[in-house]
Amino acid sequence: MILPMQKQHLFIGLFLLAASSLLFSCDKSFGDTRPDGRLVPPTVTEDSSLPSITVNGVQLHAEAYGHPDSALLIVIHGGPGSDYRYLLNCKAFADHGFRVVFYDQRGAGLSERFPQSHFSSVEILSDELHGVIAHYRTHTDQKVFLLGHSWGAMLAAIYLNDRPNAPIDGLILGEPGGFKWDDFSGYINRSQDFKLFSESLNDAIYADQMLSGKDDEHEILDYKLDLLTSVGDSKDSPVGNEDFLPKWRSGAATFMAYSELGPRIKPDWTQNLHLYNTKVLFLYSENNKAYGRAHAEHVSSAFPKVELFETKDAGHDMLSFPRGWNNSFPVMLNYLNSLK
Amino acid sequence: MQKHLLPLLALLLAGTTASLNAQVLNWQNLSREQRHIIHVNAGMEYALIYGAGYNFHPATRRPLLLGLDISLPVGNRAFDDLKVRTGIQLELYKMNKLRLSGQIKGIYRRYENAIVQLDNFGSETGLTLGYYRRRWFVAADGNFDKAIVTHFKHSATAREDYPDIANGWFVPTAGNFLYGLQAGFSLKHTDITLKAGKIVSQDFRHAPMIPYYAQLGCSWKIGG
Repeated sequence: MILPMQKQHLFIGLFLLAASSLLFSCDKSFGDTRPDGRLVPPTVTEDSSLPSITVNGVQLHAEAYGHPDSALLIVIHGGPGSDYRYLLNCKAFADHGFRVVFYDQRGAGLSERFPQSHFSSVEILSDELHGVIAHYRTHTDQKVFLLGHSWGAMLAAIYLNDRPNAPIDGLILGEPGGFKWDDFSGYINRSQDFKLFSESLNDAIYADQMLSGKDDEHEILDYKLDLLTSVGDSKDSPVGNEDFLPKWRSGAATFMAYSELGPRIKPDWTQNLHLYNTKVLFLYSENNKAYGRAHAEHVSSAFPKVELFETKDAGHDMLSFPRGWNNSFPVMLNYLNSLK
Repeated sequence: MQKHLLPLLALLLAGTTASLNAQVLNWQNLSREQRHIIHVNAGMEYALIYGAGYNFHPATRRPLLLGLDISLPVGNRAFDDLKVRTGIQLELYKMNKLRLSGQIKGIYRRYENAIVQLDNFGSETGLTLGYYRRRWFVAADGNFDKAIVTHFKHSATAREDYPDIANGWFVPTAGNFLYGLQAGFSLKHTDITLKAGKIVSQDFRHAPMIPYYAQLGCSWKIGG
């Protein structure tokens, strides 16, 4: 016979047993059991058939088009944590006498992955850009141009701020958020201004309860960021893109690291930009309601010589879709040819 | 008080605020004759959500509830994302006004965007320890929300980016701890409840985009 108190303890015991069996399942990794295939493509460290270079000891997904001795045009993608696939229209410069270099920044696209703690400063990406230029530069007379978009445009400016004497012969910047923290954070807030009850906001965050990963589970962390960033391409996003942006694979660790680092250090990357005396071609788009001419004038004023160009009929990713590309390409080509 | 309840109910049903989680109940106020409990709630849990549910209170020596509830995030496409939970919530231990209750529930969740449709089956296990009076209560609770098995079905947009992207069942896919406080004010047939707390991933290092939850709820006990 079970006495009332024993019965109570038995009851609690059974409940805790059932609960603990569920709790112990936390040790398992994401997708221990799964179908064939992956949620994101393999990186260069997992697939040796991918084109890659090694810079500063890190294996980067990279490729180059055009004659190796032609003027270098280094294309720098956005993010942090995006990749260069959406900028592949820029291959067209190779047909006009340029050596066009694409690379995925470390931790992004198909480049080597690192834990979030690896990205303790932005300088590692600036140093990496320096290494990429050195890797592809075949002779000291070879001219070097940088074409950065969004975060990539910020990184190009950071690079010049870090190395005012770097031999950069021309600079094309497409809608950098800002070179000072307040400018950047203000733009980000405007660009993510989704309505509180919108489907886009819900699409961005509701999957959190179904998908989570540990620090080293890059597949699911990157996949989750893919879901999040796809919201930026939606019709109710203020950045005004025409469609979904093509990509290889997001880099969650680098995105999270720099998202946390920015508010902490509140950077100002403008101190040395006044030393860059070559005219900068600064692109902004007509349909990005979060950017606009006033922000473009303000951000670009860090440089002494600037040519502002509004890309008509395009949004933030003006280099990725036909209307924006067709409007921007001739202006960029003229600019580069004038300095070649 | 009744006249204040009606606008509140209208507000909750209209879903103008958001969220919903477990049934929050004043056990001290629950009589044996009150066999049916319906509730609505709204607030924030992973997203802005609203919902409703039903609990059956069988005539057992130890109070327990058998329940079913649904919550929906706000948005302009109804039922593309949702959460349905069913399970048992029971009193485990009682000492004077202190009560310990537990819950084990099964969860079905659905999420859809332009990239993927996710169908998930999971569980929620939790304990609530509180001080309960007939007119009010305050309690602390902790829950483990496990996304055990999730089916991925990717769209043509996703396959354009990555043609080999996998479709099918992945096990497991997530786990989050939710912990916080709850409190309520009770009339004979009605509980007005509020709960809030924090969400952290099972590795205790990460958190969802919205790392907090909050819920305003209202329950009606029918019978007695």
